[in-house]
Amino acid sequence: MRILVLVDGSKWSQKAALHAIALARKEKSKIILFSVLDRKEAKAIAFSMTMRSDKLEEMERFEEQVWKEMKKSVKEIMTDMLKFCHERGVNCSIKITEGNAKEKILSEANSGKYSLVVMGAYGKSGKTRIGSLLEEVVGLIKPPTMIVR
Amino acid sequence: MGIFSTIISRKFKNIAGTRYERILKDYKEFFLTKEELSLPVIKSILMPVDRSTRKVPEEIYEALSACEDAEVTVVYIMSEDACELIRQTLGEKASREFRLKQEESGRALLESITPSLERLGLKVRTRMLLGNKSEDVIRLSREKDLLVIPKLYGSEITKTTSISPVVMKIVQHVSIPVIVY
Repeated sequence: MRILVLVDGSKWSQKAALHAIALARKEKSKIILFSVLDRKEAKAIAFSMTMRSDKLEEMERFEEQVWKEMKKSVKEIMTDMLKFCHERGVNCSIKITEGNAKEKILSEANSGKYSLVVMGAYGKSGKTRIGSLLEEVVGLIKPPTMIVR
Repeated sequence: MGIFSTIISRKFKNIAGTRYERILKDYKEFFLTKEELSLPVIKSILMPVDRSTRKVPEEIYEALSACEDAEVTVVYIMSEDACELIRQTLGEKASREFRLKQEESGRALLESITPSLERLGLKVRTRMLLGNKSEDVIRLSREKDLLVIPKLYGSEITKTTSISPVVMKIVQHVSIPVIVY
């Protein structure tokens, strides 16, 4: 069984990884930790921060800084998760890509390589509401999809 | 794997000083606690089926085979509202006939799914009830560890819907992991 775990760095995607590990331990399975870095996210953060701080001229520089931090952070998170899987004897690899999250997720999940997709119910903004990305993609993902909370 | 715990510890512990414990408590929603780090064990599974369940995909059986010794409750819920609507518009007899047909197709569906689950070494219970599909699934899922549900559960198959509103409502309201297929 090949399991695709969607990782956005939130607590919920970490819980998704735990469920994937529990399912992957029995069979000869492989977990692929998948994360999409969307430049728009860095842009949005930079815009919102500089608008509030009255330093619009800093926006591009700040965006670049946020983008670098996002890349660094996701690598750290994925490496940590990878180590956690290996320690539990689960075959695992990581895949990080850049672009539109919805498009990249659908293209990877529907590539025909996976028998299960696992994702968190909520995003990085916490448990306030069900993740908007989940609402957008869950019906369009072809393999069975596990939503973890 | 306590990634955020590690990050908080590494980046903020020195800055936060005595406020560290309070920060951990306030931001608990955003990072995995030690208690949450254990691997989940699935012992009970709820599997609602209806006529949208044309065939349970092999991948579902493959995933469920990892849930050793779990008990699966396969449930067929007949819509009470539909029966009542038929009773009010077409009469008692038509409503009774509709219900009998529903029971017949429900029984056939439950019987077709059970052997495949039993072959995986799972304990299987089947239930048939008259009620409300979304509310009853939400209620029954409270005592389960996993919910496995078809994408089009509770609705007619249309070309415009990739997931039924009934399933979206269920996903939003249950507190356990859900596999949609």
